[in-house]
Amino acid sequence: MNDKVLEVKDLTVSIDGRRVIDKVDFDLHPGRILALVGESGSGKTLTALAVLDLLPMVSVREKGEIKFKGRNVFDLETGEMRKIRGDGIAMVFQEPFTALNPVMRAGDQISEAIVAHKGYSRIRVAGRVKELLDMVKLSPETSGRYPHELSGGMRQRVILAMALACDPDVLILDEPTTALDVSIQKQILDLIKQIQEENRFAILFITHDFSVVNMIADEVCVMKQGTVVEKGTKEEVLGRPRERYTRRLISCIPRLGDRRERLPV
Amino acid sequence: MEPMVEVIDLKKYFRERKGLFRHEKEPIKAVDGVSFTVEKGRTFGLVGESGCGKSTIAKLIVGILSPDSGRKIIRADRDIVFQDPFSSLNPRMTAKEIIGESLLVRGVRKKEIESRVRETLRLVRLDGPPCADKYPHQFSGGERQRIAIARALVRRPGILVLDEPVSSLDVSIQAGILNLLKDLQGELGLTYVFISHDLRVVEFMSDFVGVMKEGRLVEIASREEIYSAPKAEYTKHLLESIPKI
Repeated sequence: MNDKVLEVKDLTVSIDGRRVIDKVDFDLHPGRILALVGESGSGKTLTALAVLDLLPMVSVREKGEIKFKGRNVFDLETGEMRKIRGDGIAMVFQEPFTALNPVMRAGDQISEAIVAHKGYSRIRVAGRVKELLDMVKLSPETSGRYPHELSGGMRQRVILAMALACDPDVLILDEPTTALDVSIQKQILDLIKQIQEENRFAILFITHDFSVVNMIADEVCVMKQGTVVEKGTKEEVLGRPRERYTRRLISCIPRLGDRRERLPV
Repeated sequence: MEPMVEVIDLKKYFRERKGLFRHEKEPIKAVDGVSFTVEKGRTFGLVGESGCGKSTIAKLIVGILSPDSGRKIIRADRDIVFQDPFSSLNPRMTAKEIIGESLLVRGVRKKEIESRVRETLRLVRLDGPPCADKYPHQFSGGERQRIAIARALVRRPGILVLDEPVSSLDVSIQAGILNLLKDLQGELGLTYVFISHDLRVVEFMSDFVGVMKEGRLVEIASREEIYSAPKAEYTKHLLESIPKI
């Protein structure tokens, strides 16, 4: 039985003659989290953009396909793909502080995400907003607040609510906790796992930090300069990394109780 | 020998005026009676969540802000490195100009500025020939942070305050900057006040650690004590949220 909600096959993209995504392969399954790990410039964000067919105009897709529920996104009409973005596949981009409109209240921004895709009545939208705020553990009063009145963690929850508004099948999160304190990061990651358990969507989680991978991932893809250098379950990649690059990325994170004088670089 | 940095019951309140009748609201007690000392050549790590007042302490130590009460005794020149290397570097100045600016405004001769900037770039391992004349956007995040460190070091201060210096960098780049900071401390005998929300990084860098919450220090101890035998509930809470690997 094929329960892959997203299949990326042999994806190869160039910009200015340089391969920025090189034969990338991975699948997403409902209820599972795949972490795409790599340093800045490894191609992970571009890969996420490819899934949404939002690659920059200057890029050239040399080969490969991305199937969302069996249909290749690159073959879809503009209108069809636009319906999928935000509804079937939702994405939370990096930079949470600039993702929210500073002159709109949180509730209105979440409503916008719903209204764009569903023809709900005003009452139904309001009800859904309340439901979503509850899902991300924010009080109903948050609806009337402006982004600057919310802490970083609260803003990230609002953005999450917007992404979940239309009950997507795939949620892409690009470094969602990078700008947050470690304690808030833990709360957000726990929240994401809990919501996923209740709603069974697939998650593509992009990060540069293996300790975050350890907290959240089921499967892992390690990317370096556009290629997937290692792939496997979290236990395999973290516990028995085969590639030197993977081992290096894992070991450069300082650890509690670590008495090393220098970090490996 | 006397400590390089002595902070005694420092307080800094911020007042807001709001409302129709301009009633003064309860002031925000950003720093509410903080005391600590730092010995020469040591690192004092200040850890706490966003909003606890640690950045305010950084600004108080280097003199960007003045305390409302309490005292500070600083026994050497001090300088500061901020979190976001991109916004703290003037995009219209070259690396050379950014680093040399503090010398220029003090009337140092051009030739001497050049040699001191070159020397400082070498210290932060950015001594490839084209580096000095490049603009911030032409560097990577880690390199920009090295420029920010060079700028802070060019006048050879004895004390460096580092406010979340690696938080916006990839972990692999963080490692390089942390190693560099340790090397520089050894080479130049620097005293550090190292501020971060990340306990792992603070543990790696510090000799002593202060845990801040809502403007106060809830615990202050040596690195070993904080991590192996934390006393305050809040410290334990912070330790528990650290991602394990």
